[in-house]
Amino acid sequence: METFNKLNPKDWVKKYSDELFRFAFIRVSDEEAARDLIQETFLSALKNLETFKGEISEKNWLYFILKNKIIDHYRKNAKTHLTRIDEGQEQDEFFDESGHWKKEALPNPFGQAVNNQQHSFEFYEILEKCKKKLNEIQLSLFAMKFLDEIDSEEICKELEISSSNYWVLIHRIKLKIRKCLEKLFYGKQH
Amino acid sequence: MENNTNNKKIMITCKEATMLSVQKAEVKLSFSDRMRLFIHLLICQYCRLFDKQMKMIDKLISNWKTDKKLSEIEKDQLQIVIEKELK
Repeated sequence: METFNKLNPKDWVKKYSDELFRFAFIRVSDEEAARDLIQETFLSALKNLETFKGEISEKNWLYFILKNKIIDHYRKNAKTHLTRIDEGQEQDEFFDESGHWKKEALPNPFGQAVNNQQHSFEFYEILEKCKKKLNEIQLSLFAMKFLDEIDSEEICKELEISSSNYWVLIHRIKLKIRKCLEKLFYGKQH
Repeated sequence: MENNTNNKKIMITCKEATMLSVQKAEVKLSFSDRMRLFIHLLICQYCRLFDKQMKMIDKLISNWKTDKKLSEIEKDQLQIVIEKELK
């Protein structure tokens, strides 16, 4: 007789809540939003218990629901910030009119500190701070691209942006993150 | 996914070079774009540094970790929500 995976909703909080919370927090950068997403995930799972056929594990099933909730979250964020998408209009803090680095934006080396801390939580706390420099649409795109590794074309479709908008956003995100890492690590060393 | 560069000049600006550095992590650049970037990086130390740091940042981000946890109170609340729904 085949054994199918079963659901035990009473154990979900104890077994999966921290793990799901970390997964969501890294993607939405907001503890409250991450908590809400976990609750929504559990509630939506409870409403759809009969759709669980047991071919995948309980844990993977919950992750599947959470991932969809997170994508909805990105989409909602992107929609409410559509007006900000035309970043060409935004003043360029990195390059002058002729396309050269502005003096204050010239890249500097990160220094040893980064290399020593690559794998520590402390490093990721700094990265977390840098992520907060991004606006909502940049954050959603950042999470979809770099954490969920969603295909670029798929992202454009989900967020309803053109491919040239996409590149402008990715370019801007990376310039901002790089600048912020340089600043925080330089500050640490001196 | 296309990276549309209409610019046909050999010499590109730092803004264009950094854009190519970002794009090459995701798409295969055309031969002419690869040449443009290569030449620019030969003469511009800042964009060369940017290019190098991009590779490192990409690697770091893909290993993102956090030690955040839910508090016991938050867990209790979630548990109550679930039990209530089960009744």
